[in-house]
Amino acid sequence: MRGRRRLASVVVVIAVLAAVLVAIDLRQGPVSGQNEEILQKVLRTHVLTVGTISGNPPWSITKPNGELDGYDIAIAKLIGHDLNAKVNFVVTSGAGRIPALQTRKVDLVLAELNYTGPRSLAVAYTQVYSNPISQFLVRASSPYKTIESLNSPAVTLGYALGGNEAQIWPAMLPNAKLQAFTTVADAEQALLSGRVTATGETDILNRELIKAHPGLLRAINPAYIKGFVGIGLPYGDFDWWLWLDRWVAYFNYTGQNQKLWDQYMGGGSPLVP
Amino acid sequence: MTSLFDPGLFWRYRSVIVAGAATTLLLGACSVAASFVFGLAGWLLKASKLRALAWVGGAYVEALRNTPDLLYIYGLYFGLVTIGVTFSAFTSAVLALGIQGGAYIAEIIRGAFTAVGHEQRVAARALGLRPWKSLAYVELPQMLRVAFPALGNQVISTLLGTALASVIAVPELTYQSQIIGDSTYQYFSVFSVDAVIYLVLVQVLTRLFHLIDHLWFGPWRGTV
Amino acid sequence: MARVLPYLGLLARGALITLEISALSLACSLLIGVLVGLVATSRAAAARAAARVYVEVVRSVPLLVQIFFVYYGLPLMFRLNLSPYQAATIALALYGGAYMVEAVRSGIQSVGKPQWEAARALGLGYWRTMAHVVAPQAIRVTLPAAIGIFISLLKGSSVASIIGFVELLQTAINIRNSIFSLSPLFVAGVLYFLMCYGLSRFGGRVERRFRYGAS
Repeated sequence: MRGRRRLASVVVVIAVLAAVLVAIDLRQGPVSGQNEEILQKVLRTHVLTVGTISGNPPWSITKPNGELDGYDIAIAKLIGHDLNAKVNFVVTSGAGRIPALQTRKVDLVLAELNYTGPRSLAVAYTQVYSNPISQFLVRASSPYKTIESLNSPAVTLGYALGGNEAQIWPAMLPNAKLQAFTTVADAEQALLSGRVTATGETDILNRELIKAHPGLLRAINPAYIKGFVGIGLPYGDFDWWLWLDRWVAYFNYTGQNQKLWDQYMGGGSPLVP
Repeated sequence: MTSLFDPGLFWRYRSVIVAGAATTLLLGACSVAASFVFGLAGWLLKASKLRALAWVGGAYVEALRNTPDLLYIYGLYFGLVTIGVTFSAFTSAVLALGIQGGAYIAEIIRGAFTAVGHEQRVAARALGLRPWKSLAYVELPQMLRVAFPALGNQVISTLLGTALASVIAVPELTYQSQIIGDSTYQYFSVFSVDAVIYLVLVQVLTRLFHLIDHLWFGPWRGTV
Repeated sequence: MARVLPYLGLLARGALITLEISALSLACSLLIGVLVGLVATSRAAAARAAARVYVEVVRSVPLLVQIFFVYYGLPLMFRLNLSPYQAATIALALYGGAYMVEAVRSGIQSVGKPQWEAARALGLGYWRTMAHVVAPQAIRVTLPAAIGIFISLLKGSSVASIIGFVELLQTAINIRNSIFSLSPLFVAGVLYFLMCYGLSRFGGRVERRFRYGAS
């Protein structure tokens, strides 16, 4: 009899917990549809909260003194300047960029955020401010020289969670196998040690990697995709999207984008036709 | 745009989740087996009469009990490459979890061995049983009885440790959960279900161990 | 082996970060353990059941999954935005807390009924008995267990590296990626060993002192 009473109380506790969770969920509802509009909020409080990542040179890195710097960071500061707001950076992991927008904890995300179908269902995008090309990177000694040759069951492609590879690669190379790692560095190490056949990164990053490991790595041309990097923002606020999108258009049109690109990327053009 | 919990998710990804759970169980089984092998070896080393071997055994046990699992998972997979040894992800995980679990199992066996007591061995010898027979018929069953609960706990501990193999891309349950989360962004749902599956596995195993303990060893409890 | 020498300072700093987060989590675990431990020894069956559910869940789910849940899942639930450091501390505190509940419970229960009755005879209420009679004696059982939990947290903090928190293990991995050598991981292992082994020896000494101390 006592055993049954104990079981009953455990069941009651679990039921109460479940009810609490459901209540929290119902209270939230869909996370968009918020009260105050973001643009008004930023203009009123003079604070712009920007989500970004770290360790992604030259887009955003953490300087030794703890400050952030990079192409994306500079853009964020320009936006803040135009809004007469101080920029408050929130650093997330690659995979944390989207949840930060979904919960509206940040007003926008500047973190080399590529457009993908599934992402576009979760968050909104401005127009493109940069479209760096991405290439596959293989070991110099490997026999693979073209993208088509990678479309084989013997090929394993390594990538870091939080990027768009899992959405692009299966369509492009259906026969190849995919392997996900926690960080870009791990995927890099897997490539160097022969665990994966290839990784894929922007040509900027690939150049850095080839330089860092002379003679060991080789990029496959042509690029397999052109990026579509826009500023990410939460859904449900049309005015905010409209303002940001116009801002990006102007940023591209006036050549400010090219200036920043030259400063951080050392050449080339942010928007390749 | 997205609500907190999306049940339809799991139906769509059911094959991925099931494959992940199956790999977790496979990895768990292999790691547990490995840990028993290492544990036995560790105990024999530590109990050896040769001081050098005993020291090696002792060092193994202390080193593995005071360092984190993840160090070995990374070390065997990414680290050994620097000296030319390349283990596959699955092998690295099995070895890492095996040596970790082995250290604890060596101590459990040692405890059980001392618990059984010297008199048993002497009595068995007095009854004319040769050392091997004494070991098999008298000591081992009693050691197993004493050690069973602790061994059961260690098995569960190793099973939970398999989640760490996800960082070296072993396609077990937690890895698959990260993949699903990466493309759907429904992290709350995904990791809730991940946790629930482990919970169910562990609870089932715990009840099973209790049952075995009760049925097999219960009747003899209290006799020695 | 020598190539790792210039990085020893970084590794030492990583070890300090590991110690810091483990100590902070331990303090929070202790708080959780005491609160939930009191609940677990209460007379209300529902309260005891709730405590038991908490402990069972934390002990049946891998630490990595708990950390992921706190870092990726909770922000969606509560609209927080947790840094890796905050998420790791919370997850480790909840993890250690579950084991701490057991430690606190054993500690409280190690004080026998006669003590409670004597306290009541002296006119001490529940809380005063707890504070002046039970707690000082419970510590003799709880403290060694708490040291064991601290060791587990030191090892568990390495799992936080997966959500991007840079502690000793991640520092060693970063160094290993720059210099193609096994030594950073080896040095990190030694540092972990020194911290944990040292603590377990200390714990052993504490336990022995308590055993031969005043009854």
